[in-house]
Amino acid sequence: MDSNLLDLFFWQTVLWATGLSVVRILVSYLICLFAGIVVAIWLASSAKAERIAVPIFDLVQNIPPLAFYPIAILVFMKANLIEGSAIFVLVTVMLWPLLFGLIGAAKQIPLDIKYAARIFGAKGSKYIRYVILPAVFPAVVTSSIVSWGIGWNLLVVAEWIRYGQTDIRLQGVGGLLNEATASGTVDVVLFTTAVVMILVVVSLLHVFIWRPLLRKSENYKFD
Amino acid sequence: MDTIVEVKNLTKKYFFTSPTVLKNVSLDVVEGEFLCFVGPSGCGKSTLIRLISGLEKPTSGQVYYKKKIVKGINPEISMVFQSFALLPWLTIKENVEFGAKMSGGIDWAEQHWVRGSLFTVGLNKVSDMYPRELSGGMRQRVGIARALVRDPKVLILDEPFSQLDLITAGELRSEALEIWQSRNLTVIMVSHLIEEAVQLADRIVIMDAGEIKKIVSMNLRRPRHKGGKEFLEVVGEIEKIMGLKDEDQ
Repeated sequence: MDSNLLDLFFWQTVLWATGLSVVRILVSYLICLFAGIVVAIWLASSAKAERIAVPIFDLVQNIPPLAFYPIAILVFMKANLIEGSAIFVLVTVMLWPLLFGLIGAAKQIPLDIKYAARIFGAKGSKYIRYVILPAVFPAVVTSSIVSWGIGWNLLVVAEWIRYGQTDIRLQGVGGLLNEATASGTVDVVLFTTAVVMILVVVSLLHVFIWRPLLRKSENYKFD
Repeated sequence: MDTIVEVKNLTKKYFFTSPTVLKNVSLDVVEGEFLCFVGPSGCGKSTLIRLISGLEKPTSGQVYYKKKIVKGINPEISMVFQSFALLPWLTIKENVEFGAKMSGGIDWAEQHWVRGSLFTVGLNKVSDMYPRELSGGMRQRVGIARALVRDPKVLILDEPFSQLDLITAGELRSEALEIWQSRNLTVIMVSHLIEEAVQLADRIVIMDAGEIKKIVSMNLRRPRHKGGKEFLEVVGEIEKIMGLKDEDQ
């Protein structure tokens, strides 16, 4: 690709790549969010499960995610799912802040709140919907910000897959950063554009998503 | 009057290795009375009310409500909490409606009850505000309104005024007495203040180390004034039973 700022095709490629990266991180994030909420609800409802599961999660999170990478590539390539391996790598790193943030928040729901909810008839799915989910909402917001940050950090690795002797470069802003430095010399225009695109997306997310959610989450905090 | 709550040989231990919180406690609560548990921290009074309300299960023994074994939450028993326990993301009105919402939905009769309960505790003008926008006293009024919406037969108060300033606590005590009398409720309260118990209760259950030390029946006429001679004598008697005062003092 010609790195020319005046070339329309260059901008089309960069914007398309950025969009794909955002979708990739978003899909990984939604998987992590779902897993985090399910596990937090499970652990919040069972002290025994919490005592067993939390040390195991702590152990697993310390295994470097890249150690999973060759196995993941093998599995996903054999299934002809290139995107799957990228999302797998992202999930292995984006999951932990959400998981531990949500577990911590579920554990910190005051005992009197839990008792009041039960006394006034909240149980089962209603207890989850009307008590646990709103109670962990502030932690969802702060953990999500950290999770997305880690996702952007790992994008370069996730979008450049080496399978045997073959390099498979996924289209994405991480892939562009790889491409900008792949030949041994730095394509300054491409590199800078890719970094600026990441900064623009991160800023937009902050202004239009995270900041309003952070403000809203103030209403959900216990004294 | 009939017995409404019966506690029989109740023992509670949280884990096999942990100390026994309640040791073979037996007690009858009479319908319409104002009963108050007093005792030092860790004496088991809060555990006892959680067992009565069905929030926890006994290790041995039983709690009976109207002659039936308590096996879980009972809609005829409501509770007011020391920390108010309001949901911060709900408005005052939504907090008060919470119980009705959990049990299916809010029909016009329940809306009437919600309005009535808010009016009873003087909160009808702030029903769209959030708990954080209210003072401690106002928040506890919301807690009381939420408990009253269920039209309970038994109202459990778990140290409801201990986080309030003296003046507000005094006001709310008077309001609690009015509500108890006007609604023909049975009230079971936990307190660590002897004067509060003497001011409000028909009977005071003195607890220590997981056991009932003594039950004192109040013969003082209402309204009870804290500075009165008889009032102070009763306070002194309870202090002696609790070991806070020497016998010869």
